[in-house]
Amino acid sequence: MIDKERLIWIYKTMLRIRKFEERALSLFESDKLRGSVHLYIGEEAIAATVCSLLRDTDYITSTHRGHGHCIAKGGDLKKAMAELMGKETGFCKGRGGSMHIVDMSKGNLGANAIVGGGIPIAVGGALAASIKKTDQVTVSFFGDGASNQGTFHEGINLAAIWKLPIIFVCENNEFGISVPVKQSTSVKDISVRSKSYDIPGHTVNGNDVFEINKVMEEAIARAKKGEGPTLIECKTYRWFGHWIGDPQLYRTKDEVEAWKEKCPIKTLKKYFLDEKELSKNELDEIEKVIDKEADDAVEFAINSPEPDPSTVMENVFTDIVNF
Amino acid sequence: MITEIIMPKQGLQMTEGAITKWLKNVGDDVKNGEAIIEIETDKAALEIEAQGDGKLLKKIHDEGETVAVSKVIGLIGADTDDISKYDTEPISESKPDTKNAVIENTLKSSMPQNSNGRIFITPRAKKLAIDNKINFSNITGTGPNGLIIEKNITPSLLNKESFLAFKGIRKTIAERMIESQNTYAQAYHKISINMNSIINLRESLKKSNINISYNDIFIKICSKALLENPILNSTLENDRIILKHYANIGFAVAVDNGLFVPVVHNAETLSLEEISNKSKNLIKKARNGSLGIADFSSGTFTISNLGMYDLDEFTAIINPPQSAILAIGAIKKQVVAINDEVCIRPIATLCLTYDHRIIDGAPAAAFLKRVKELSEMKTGGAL
Amino acid sequence: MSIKTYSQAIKDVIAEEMRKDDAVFIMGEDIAEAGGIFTCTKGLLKEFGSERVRNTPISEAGFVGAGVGAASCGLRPIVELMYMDFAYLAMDQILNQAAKIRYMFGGNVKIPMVIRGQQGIGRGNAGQHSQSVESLFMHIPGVKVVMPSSPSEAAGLLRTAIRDDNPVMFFEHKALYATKGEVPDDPEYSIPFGKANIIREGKDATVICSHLYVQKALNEAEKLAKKNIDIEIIDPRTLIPFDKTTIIKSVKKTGRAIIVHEAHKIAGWGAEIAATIMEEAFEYLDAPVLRLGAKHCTLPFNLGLENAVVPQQEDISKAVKKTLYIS
Repeated sequence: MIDKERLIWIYKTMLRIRKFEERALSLFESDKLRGSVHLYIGEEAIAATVCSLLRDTDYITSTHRGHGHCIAKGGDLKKAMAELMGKETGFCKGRGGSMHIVDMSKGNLGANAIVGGGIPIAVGGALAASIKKTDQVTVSFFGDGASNQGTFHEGINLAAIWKLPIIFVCENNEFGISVPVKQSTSVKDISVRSKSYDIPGHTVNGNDVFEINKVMEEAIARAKKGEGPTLIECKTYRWFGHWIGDPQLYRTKDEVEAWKEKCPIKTLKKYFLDEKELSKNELDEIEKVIDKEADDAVEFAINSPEPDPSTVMENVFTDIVNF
Repeated sequence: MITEIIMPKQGLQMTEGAITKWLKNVGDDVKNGEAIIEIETDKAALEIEAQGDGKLLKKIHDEGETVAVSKVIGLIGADTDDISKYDTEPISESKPDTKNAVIENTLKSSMPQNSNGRIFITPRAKKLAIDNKINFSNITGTGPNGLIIEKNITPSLLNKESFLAFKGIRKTIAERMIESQNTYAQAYHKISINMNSIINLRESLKKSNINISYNDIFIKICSKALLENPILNSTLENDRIILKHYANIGFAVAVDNGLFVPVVHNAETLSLEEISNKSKNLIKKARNGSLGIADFSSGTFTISNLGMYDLDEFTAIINPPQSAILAIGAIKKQVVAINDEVCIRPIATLCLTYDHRIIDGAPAAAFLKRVKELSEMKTGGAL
Repeated sequence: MSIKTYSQAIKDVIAEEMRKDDAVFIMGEDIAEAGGIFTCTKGLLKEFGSERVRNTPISEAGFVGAGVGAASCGLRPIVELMYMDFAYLAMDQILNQAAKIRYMFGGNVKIPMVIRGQQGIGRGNAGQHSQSVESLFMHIPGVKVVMPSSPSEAAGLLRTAIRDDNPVMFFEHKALYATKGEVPDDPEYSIPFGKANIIREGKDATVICSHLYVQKALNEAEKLAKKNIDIEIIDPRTLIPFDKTTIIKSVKKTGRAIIVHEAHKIAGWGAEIAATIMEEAFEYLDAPVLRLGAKHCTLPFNLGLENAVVPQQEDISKAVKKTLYIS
């Protein structure tokens, strides 16, 4: 059950992710931004819906495709864009870039550029909550590719034996770079793997806010009751290549266009209008505000200072370590 | 227009000079008459002035090098001047750690080298040798393939030998001493002097705030005695003995790695106080290396006083082209017979070295006797 | 002072730190009821319960990663690896995650975690259970590398490790667990990282070594002393951070350096120290810096073969004499 306020928050959050990434793409194409930039566009419903159920004190771990998770968990667009541009004002002072955004103040334990690398860390977050006996829950976002890593299996097994308050959210976007899931993965539905660990598993339409919300609400309740983890597979699709510049020889334009028709933002907008929850004017106003927010983020990032190379050795450790 | 900076000849005996310091860098503006380089000759350290305006274009010889007189040391001119005809070996502009480099180069140049031009020595042994100025060229290494290792150097620390540069003043002294020893027929007379009168004179002057040294007094005494015995104040030149009827009296001043003999000119015309002022000034200049050519030229007689070292007596070698030198020992209380009575008196022993080719024993003795009389202020003793 | 074994000293410090700080907990394979196969956690389960003394499945990537996550979220995990050889299974979590998180995240996170376990020869454990792997962890910035060589060193260094806000790889040696020594009773006794221990002062050559080779070097020092050769023995204690100052000072004095470790010689930490000495004390050297390390060969099972791979005690004297050009 999603109340109107939360549904609008989900809508705004999806839009915020979309607008942010559209600008990141344009900055990359105009050579103002470098590095690996993996776009989340098309998959926004998952991060937005999942995080609509989380508090700042709840934890997430994210992936190399992490802008959406960061923004949905409450991350500031300005700091995020500044980080993408490698600026001192970014979340990681320009040390991490797109693939390593962290925001501890919002419970974002960090994006991770190693596929499956964040899963055991999420388990550790849940373990900390368990040992400290708080009611925090942890969500580990990862992709279909990560479900073939040992860390996926080791992490779920640990969480299952220790009954940790964690939800494993698998964003199945059909490809690990160029390799389709059916070539890389032994099961059709990744949620089936939950059976090996005797925990609940669900496969849902990852572009459907309501479907995602339903299983997430159950999973969070279960986690908080100390019954352990849940595996949720959200089937979705990334509109763009694996990275900006991916020639995408592994799929057809038609396939991509068909998925664009299933755009979660368009779908929810239609819902608001159909159900008369929001007027066109109101929706336009929302979009206008978010456009401005995204533009401000770009302006902030562009005008932010570069990190000082003399500080490059800072934070290797908490203290100064000599060799 | 290019102006050459030449190693100047400073005095008849100068054949070469060492560059101690360039006062300008290549590219610096230089004015006619401006000091541009410091050199050390066999006699003294001095500054050379630029003889033209322009920029310092090139240093043909660098600090530490010894250059023959009249050779070109450097060039002054305009940037547009063609100096290619002066191209010799390039001189490095930067000289980091010149002290060690100089030592190392000195060591290297005197080292026997293998066919590859290398001496095999461990870094530690080499550092130890250089730090202690030990010449490792003649040390046999006991490491693999004759490698010189630390323990091959350590015995040299016990029997440590170091070296000093043998050039400039030191070299000149050596040459002149050998010249003196080989040419002059050096003979010696000794005389003891009761210093009571001189001591009393000094004491009384001191009460009037006039500080004079024993040396000053002997300069005064000798100037008088020399004019009375001019053969002691003479020079042998070819077929003539030149007798000098003025007393330019040099006195030896010890400095690091050598000695200077500045001269009090026409001491016979000067009062004791004037002699004292002149000698104080000359000693100061000798110690800070600022003696000019005039300060040590044309001496006619030399006094060497080592009384402060508590020597009973000593002999000196004649300072060419002079013909005699007086060596003054320490004042010591001695038992003497005066009027058949045993007395204690402050006694100093003077030793005269004279050139027996032109001075016979009697005139030398007469001179010394006169010095004694004047010192003891017995007859006509007024100074 | 109390006489304790190396393993008792470790267990006592873990217990003391767990008493003082609720954030400290320990997990690993067979550490609870079994008390660890080397008894380093014996009795902890009884005192602290299964929440804080946690058996893990044989799942190194999983539980090391869980340690990283727990450390990110405010706990101070001690993660025991039964054999340091097993760290390879968790290499990504150690070197890509724990080591880099703080830096990549712009200093916004700290990882106060100790990964401890034993390594080395001595029990005929063959190729996958006898390695000395500390050098691997020096190469990637972000983890501290600690090598305690006696019971008191283990106690003092482990306390510092547990209280450190960074990932620490704490390398124990299986052949040291039974060794006994005096350990201060002071519950605050700690040894700072980056401060080498001058085990023996000497003037003729500097022997830099850790773990088993500290005692071996001391034994050889006695023999060498009878021949008027006076060696200095330095235990660096921690390889990251590294006390360059003490080593360089010593080598400047003695002019000769020998580094001895059980880790493989090729690209082992001795190479790093040798290069550092060359860079910073070249003109003080009277002989090439020598390294003694395991041959480039998998650790064999057979005892005679194992001994043929790792440096032997007598090799230390041979190397010292070689640097002194004494045959």
